[in-house]
Amino acid sequence: MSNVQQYLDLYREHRELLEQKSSAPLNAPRAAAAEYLADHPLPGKRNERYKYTDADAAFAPNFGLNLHRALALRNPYASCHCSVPDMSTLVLYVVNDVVFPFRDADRLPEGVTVTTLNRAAEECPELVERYYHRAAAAEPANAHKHIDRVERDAVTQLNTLLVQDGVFVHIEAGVQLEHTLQIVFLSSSRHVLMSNRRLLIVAEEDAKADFLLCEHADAGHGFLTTQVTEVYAADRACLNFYSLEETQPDNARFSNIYVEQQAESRVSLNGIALVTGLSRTMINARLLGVGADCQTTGAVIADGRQQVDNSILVDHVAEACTSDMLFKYVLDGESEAAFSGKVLVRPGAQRTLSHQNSANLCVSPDARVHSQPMLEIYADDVRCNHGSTIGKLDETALLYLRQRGIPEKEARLLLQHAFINDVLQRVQIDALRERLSYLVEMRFRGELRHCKNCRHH
Amino acid sequence: MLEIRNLHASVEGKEILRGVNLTIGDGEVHVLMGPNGSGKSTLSHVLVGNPKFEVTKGEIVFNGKDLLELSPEDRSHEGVFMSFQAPIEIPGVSMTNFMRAALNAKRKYFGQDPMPAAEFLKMLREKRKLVGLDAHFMSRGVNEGFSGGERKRNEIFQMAVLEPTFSILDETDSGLDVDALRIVAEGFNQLRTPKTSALVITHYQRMLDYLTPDFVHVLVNGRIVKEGNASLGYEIEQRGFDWIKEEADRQSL
Ligand SMILES: Nc1ncnc2c1ncn2[C@@H]1O[C@H](COP(=O)(O)OP(=O)(O)OP(=O)(O)O)[C@@H](O)[C@H]1O
Ligand SMILES: [Mg+2]
Repeated sequence: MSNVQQYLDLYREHRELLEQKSSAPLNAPRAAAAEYLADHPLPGKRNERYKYTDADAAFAPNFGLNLHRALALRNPYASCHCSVPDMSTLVLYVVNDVVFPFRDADRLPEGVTVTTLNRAAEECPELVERYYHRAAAAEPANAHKHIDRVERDAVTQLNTLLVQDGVFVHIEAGVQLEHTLQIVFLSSSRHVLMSNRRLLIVAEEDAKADFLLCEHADAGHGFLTTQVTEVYAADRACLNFYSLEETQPDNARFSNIYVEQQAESRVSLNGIALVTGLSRTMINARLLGVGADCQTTGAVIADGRQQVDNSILVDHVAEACTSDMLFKYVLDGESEAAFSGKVLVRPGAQRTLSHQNSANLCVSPDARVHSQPMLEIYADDVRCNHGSTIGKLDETALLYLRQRGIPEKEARLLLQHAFINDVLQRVQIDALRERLSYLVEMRFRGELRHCKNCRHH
Repeated sequence: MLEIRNLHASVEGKEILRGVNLTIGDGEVHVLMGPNGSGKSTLSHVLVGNPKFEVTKGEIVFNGKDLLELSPEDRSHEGVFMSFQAPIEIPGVSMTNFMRAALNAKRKYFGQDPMPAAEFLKMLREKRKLVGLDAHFMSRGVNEGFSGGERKRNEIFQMAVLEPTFSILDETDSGLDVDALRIVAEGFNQLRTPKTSALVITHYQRMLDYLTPDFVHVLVNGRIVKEGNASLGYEIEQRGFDWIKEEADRQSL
């Protein structure tokens, strides 16, 4: 029996409470999600996209949930300062699955809304109804091929079943957010806890914004989070997401990101996993408008028994879109990481330009990496290339540095940092790039406890 | 300065050096010549401690210390420098950061504090001028996109920054155009002191002209088979190596 059963039981038992503490648009798709999950076990190694992460096993423990919407034990404004030197951000805290009041609301420009999904459901119901669980519920990209085996993502379904609130961001046409919107996710509890988080981001025509998403967790308890993010970028909208994960070795997270892009929109998703336990990120980006551009970038630094999995699908539906994937992993200890990136070029998506690159460095003999760039092309006028490398640290380079007097440990560190460097170079904000570069260095030195400025008290 | 005694070394199980003896005194410049594949670069790599090369026999004493006991980085701190025959690219490590890390590691070895930033940058500028390397090279990755000749200049630039007492120049002259060779050789000569020595590997007479070496050694098949002064170098340029090989064969019979 699948481990999904305990969540279905929980849902049936507490349905009233769950829905009462939530809003109509969030309640609407629950029944369908329950129906789906009743027939579909949580995915494991037999499912193509979960080949490298056994979700079913990760959901096995009996996690507690915060169905009563009790506020978290920790007030993040009092206990946590997550900031980047020389960078002014607007900060929103989410502790477990509770969105804390947004104190920087008065610094938002006209035309930008940052609030909770439940409040948005009251204040602008038509927007929430229109976008909530639309991209996430879209037909999977394999639908045109395997009509008989259309699989929705069970983790997204489970999130939809249990989620009670989330973050809502709306940017009106032509509005540019000058300051980066930073959302800090914290897991903090006295008990093992499951949090189901949700993000809905809607950017209208020509809107522009940068997001910094930080994920932290207290030590000592196993946390499991599911996070479903939906991003809608209208014509010429430009959105950059930088996410940084610095949690705990006993933390498990499943982050599913759905992106819909209209004509000439540009979306970049840049994720750095510094410390984690089990971390799976799935991105499904659909390029629906002519000339859209989607960039997915990731760096993974793992050791111990950490497991990281990036499963990316960029679906070229419209003509003349461009996409670029760049993923770099440095794996030590007995860590295991996977990259599977697929570019799907639909019939008619002529003049598609795509590039995929996965490069991996295994610095210990017990680290394992799976790298699988894939192309599926149904149009003839396209330029798509992909590359994948798995290697060890370059001994010749190491000797070169040591000959100049740089001690071996330091030389290894420099080379590992250099390896990650092109991912860092994709960060457009100077102060953030420097900060991330510093954190990466600290991580390689084994001196990263917290992101330092984000000192938890 | 340096004394190599009966050195045997192999790479991947294959013996390359088969009993090398070589003594280099303070302030001396020695030239090492020899046919391709005779083991000149192998000797250099053994001197700097490349772990790929295994010393099976013999010893190397450097300023009274057992060189073979030292790590590559400690050999560097003790004053050994090699200008690589084929310097590699290290994208993502900027030249400035590289030199800062190298210099400060050496200072740390001798119990000194890191060099203050302003002083460091001023020093880099001076050393760059010595070999005619433009400022923009400093912000690029180590040798990243450098031409063959630029890489060689960069090697001598690094030598200038680190101020070694014993330098190995492995074919630093090949790949340099006429003007660059003059600049690099003049730079090298400026760095010379009565306390610094060098082992210069070259195939060409031009290098002999600039460096006026004290001794020339010829390495054939992993052994030094002939030694002389600069005139031996010019003779090789004229006559090649065959006569030396024949001479060596006759002697070993
Ligand atoms: N890493 C290695 N693996 C296997 N063989 C090697 C390796 N390095 C050197 N050799 C071999 O050792 C021998 C000596 O090489 P070495 O590079 O020392 O010659 P050299 O005298 O410097 O030649 P050149 O004048 O061409 O630079 C050659 O036969 C070479 O193929
Ligand atoms: Mg050589």
